[in-house]
Amino acid sequence: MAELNAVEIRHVSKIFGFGEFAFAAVDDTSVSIRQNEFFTLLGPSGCGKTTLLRLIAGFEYPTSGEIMLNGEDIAAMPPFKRPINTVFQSYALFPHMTVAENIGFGLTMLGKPKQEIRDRVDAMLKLVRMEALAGRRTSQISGGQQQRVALARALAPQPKVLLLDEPLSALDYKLRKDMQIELKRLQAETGITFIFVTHDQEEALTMSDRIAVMSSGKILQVGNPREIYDAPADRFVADFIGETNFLKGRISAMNGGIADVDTAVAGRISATVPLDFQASGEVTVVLRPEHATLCPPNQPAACQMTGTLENVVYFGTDTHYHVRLSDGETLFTLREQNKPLQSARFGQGDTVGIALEANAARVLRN
Amino acid sequence: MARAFSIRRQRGFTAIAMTCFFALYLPIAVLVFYSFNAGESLAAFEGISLRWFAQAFENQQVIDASIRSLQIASVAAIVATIAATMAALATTRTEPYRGLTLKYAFINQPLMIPEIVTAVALLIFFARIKIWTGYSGLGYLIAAHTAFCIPFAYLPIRARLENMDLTLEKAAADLYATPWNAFRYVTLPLLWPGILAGFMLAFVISLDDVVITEFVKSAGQDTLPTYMLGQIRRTITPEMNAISTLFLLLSVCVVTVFFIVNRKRV
Amino acid sequence: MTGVAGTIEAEKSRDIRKRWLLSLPALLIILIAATGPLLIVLVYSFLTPGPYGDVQWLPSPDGWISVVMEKDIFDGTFSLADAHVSIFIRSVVLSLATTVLTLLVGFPTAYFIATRPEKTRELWLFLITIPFWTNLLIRTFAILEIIRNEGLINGLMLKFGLISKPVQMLFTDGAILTGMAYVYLPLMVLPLYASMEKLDFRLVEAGYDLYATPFKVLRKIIIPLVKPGVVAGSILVFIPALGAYVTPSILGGGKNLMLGNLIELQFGQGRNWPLGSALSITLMLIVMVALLVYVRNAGSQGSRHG
Repeated sequence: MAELNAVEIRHVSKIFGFGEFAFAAVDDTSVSIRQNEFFTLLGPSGCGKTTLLRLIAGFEYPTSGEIMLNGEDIAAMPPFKRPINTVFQSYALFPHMTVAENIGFGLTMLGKPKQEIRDRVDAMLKLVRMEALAGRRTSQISGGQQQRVALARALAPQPKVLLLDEPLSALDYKLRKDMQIELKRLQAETGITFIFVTHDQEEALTMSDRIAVMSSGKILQVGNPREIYDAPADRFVADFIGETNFLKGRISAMNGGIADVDTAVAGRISATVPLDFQASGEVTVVLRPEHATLCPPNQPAACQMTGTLENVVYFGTDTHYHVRLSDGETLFTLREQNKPLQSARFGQGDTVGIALEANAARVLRN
Repeated sequence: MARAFSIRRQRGFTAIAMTCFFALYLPIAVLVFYSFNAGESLAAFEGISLRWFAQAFENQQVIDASIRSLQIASVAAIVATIAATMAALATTRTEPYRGLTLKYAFINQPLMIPEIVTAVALLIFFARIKIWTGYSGLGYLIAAHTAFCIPFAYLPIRARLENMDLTLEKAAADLYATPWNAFRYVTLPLLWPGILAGFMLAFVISLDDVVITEFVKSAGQDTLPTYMLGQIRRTITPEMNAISTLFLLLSVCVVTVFFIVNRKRV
Repeated sequence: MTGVAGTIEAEKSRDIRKRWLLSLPALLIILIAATGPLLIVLVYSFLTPGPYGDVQWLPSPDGWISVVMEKDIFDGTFSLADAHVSIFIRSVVLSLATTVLTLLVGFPTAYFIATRPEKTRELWLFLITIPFWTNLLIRTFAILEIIRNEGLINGLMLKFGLISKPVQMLFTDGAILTGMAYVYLPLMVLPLYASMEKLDFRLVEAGYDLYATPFKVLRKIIIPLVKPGVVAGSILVFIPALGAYVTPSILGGGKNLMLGNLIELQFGQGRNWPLGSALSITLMLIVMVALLVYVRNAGSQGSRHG
C-alpha cells in the first residue's frame, strides 16, 4: 500500500493585494512531502518559500487550492487546530515565561494533565540538552540556546509536521554548523516530517532528503540534493545552486543520451542530455567549475579551450580561476583544490588552457 | 591643555540646560520650603514648623475636596483604562479598515481641543441634563474626567501593543492556543506594563484637572485643585503651600512608579 | 469565489465587527462627554442670551457679531470691539512668545539630555518629566510666590537695598508669559528629546569630517533632522497656551485677560452664553488651523524622508 503523503499541496495560489497591485506570492504550486522526510524549500528571498510555509502553518489562507495533511484538507483550518508546529525565524519565545514554561505551552493549551506536561518538558529539555537552564527567562540565555528552546517548544506537542523558517540564519557560522547536525539528529530521533525553509544552498544540500527549488512563487525542481546539483532542471536552478558556467552551442549528433555539441569557444564537447528531453538545434551546456582544470596552453591535445587568466582568488581549501575565453566575452570559472606547499601554477595575465573532465558537460532544458 | 573636541558638544547648550533645570525646580523648592514656615507670611521665613500641615489636616473643606478628588480620579482612571485598552486592541495591529482613521481622530479628539472649549461645552450640556433629570451628583464630573482621560490612557497602551512582536501571538496559535487563550496567556501579560502606565497617567491627569472640573462641578463639589484655585484668588497663607507640598509628593510618587514600570522592558 | 476565499472574507468582516464592538465604549464616552457637546456649543452660539445666564430659544446672530463688534446701545450701530480685538491679539502674541521662549530654552535642554550617556540620561529625563506630571495649578502658584510684591524676588531686592518699594511684576503680560513658559516648558522638551534621541550622530561626524564648524553642524544637520520634534513641540505648547485659563487668571489678574478668561467671563458675570459659545468656536477654529499647518508639515516631512 502506498503510504499517504504527510503534506500535499495541490494547485495552491496565494495572491496579495487587489487589481493591478495583485501579486502571486505562491503561483499554482503543487508538491508532495513524504512521511518522515527532511524536506527543504530553497530559493532566494521573495521567492514565496516562506509564504508557502505560512500557508501550511495556517497563518495565511490560500487564495485557491488545497493543502492536505495526511489526506485531510486543512486549507481553511485555523493554526491552533493544526497538528503542525513552527520554529520561527526570530524564535518568538515568550519573554514573560521561563524556558520550561515555553516548552510546556503547547501541551498546556491542549489541556494535557500536569504530570504528563512535566514529564514531556523534562524529556524535551534532555533532548535539546538544556536541562540546566529550565528555570531561566528566555531573555537570559544565548542565541544558540534560544534556538534549542524554540525547537523543543515546537517538538513537545509531537506534531505531525515541523516547520522551520530559516531557523539558523541568526546564528554565527560555527554555531550554525553544529545546529545543522543537531537538527538532523533530532529529525532522525523523533521521526517527524521536517519542512525547512532556507536561502542557503549549502545548508539545503547538506541537510535535506529532498529539496524543492522555488522562484517567483513556483517550484522549479524537486529532487534529492545530488539530483538538484548534478542535474539542474533549468538555468535558474543551475545558477542558484553552486557556481555554473554556461556555454552556448549547437547539437550536431546524438548517440543515446549523449549529444555532440559544437561550441564557439570550446569546439566539440560531449554532453549528457536529460532523459525526457528532445534536444536539437541551439542549446546551452552547463559545466561546474570543479569539473575543469587548468593546463599549459602548449598542449592542445589535452585542452579544449584557451583563454587569458584574469583573476586568481585564493579560498583556503581551493583556488578559483576566472578565465576570459578566446571569444573575448565569456568568463569561465574553474576551481582547483589546493595541495600542500604548492604554489599557484599560473599567474594573472597568463595564457592558459582548460581541460574538461569526462561527462562533465550537461545539456540544459531551455 | 585644550579641551578635547567632542562631536556631541554644542557651545553654551549645557549652560542653558542647567539654567533650565534650575529655573524649573527653584519655584517648586521655594514653595515647598515655605510650607514649613513657622510664620504667617510668605515674605519672611521665621523658623521650621509643621503647623500649616496640621492646619490643612484639620480643614474639613480640604479633606472633603481631597477625598472627592481621589474618588473621581480612581473611578475615571479605571473606566478610562478599560475603555482605552479595548480601543487600543481594536485599533492596532491590523490592516487599515474603514473607520480606523475616524477612530483615531475620535479617541485623540480631547487632546486636540482646548480644554476651555470642552469645559464650556460640558457646562452647557450637563446644565440641560441636570434640569431634565434633577440629578446633580458626582456622575457628571466622573463622566467628563473619564472622557478626557481616555486618550492619555490610550497612548502608552497603544505604544506597547505596536511594539509587541506579532509573531508571539502567532507562536501561541501555532501551539494550540485558541484566540482567547493567546490573549489571556500571551498578549495580556505582555501588555500589562502599558495598561498600568496608562492607568497612572489617567489617574494623575484626572487628579490635576482644574478647568473642566471648575465648569462642570455643582455647588459643594470642589475637588482639591478647584478648592486651591478659589483660595489662591482670595488670601494666601502657607497652608496652601502645605497642601501643594503634599500634592507634589503624591505626583512624584506616581511618576516614579510610572518610570519604573515603563523602564522594565520584558 | 472558492470555499476557502469565502471563509477568509467572512472572517475578515467578523474581525472588523469585533474591533468596532471593542472600541465602542471609548467612542461612546468621548461622544457623550467630550465631542458631542461641542455641537451644542455651535447651536448655542446662534441663540439669544437668557436674562440669568443660559439661553432663550430665539435665533440670533448677535453672539457671533459680538466676537469682534460692539453694538451701540443707543443707536444700534456696530463698531469694532477694541476690548475683544486686543484680547485676541494678546492671546496670539503671548502664545507665540511662549512657544518661541520655550523653544529657545527647550532645544538646548533636550539636546543636553539626548547627548548624556545612557545611564544618566534616564535621570535627566526623569527630572523633566516630574514637572510635566505635577499639577499646573501648583506650578503656577509657585511662580506667583516668586514674583508677588511680597514674593522672593521683591523680598530679596528690598533686603539688599536694590529697590525701595516692590516692583509690580504680578498682573502684567510679562507675568503671564513667564508663567506660561514655565508651565509649558516640559511639553516642548519631551517631543524635542524624542526626535533628538533618534538622531544619528554618525551624520554629525560626517558633517565635521566635511569641514563644518559646530555651529554649521547645528544649523545644517541637527536642526533639519529634528525638525519634526520642533514642530510637534511648538504645537504642543501653542495650543494649550492659546486656550490657557488657569495661568492667566492667576498671574494676569482681572485686567490682562486672555481668550480663555474672556470665554469664562461670558458664562459667569457676563451672562452671555451665545457670545461665550461663539468665542469658544473661534478659539477652536484657530487651533484647527494650527493643527492643519502641523499635519501638512509633518506630512511633507514624511514624504521627504521616506
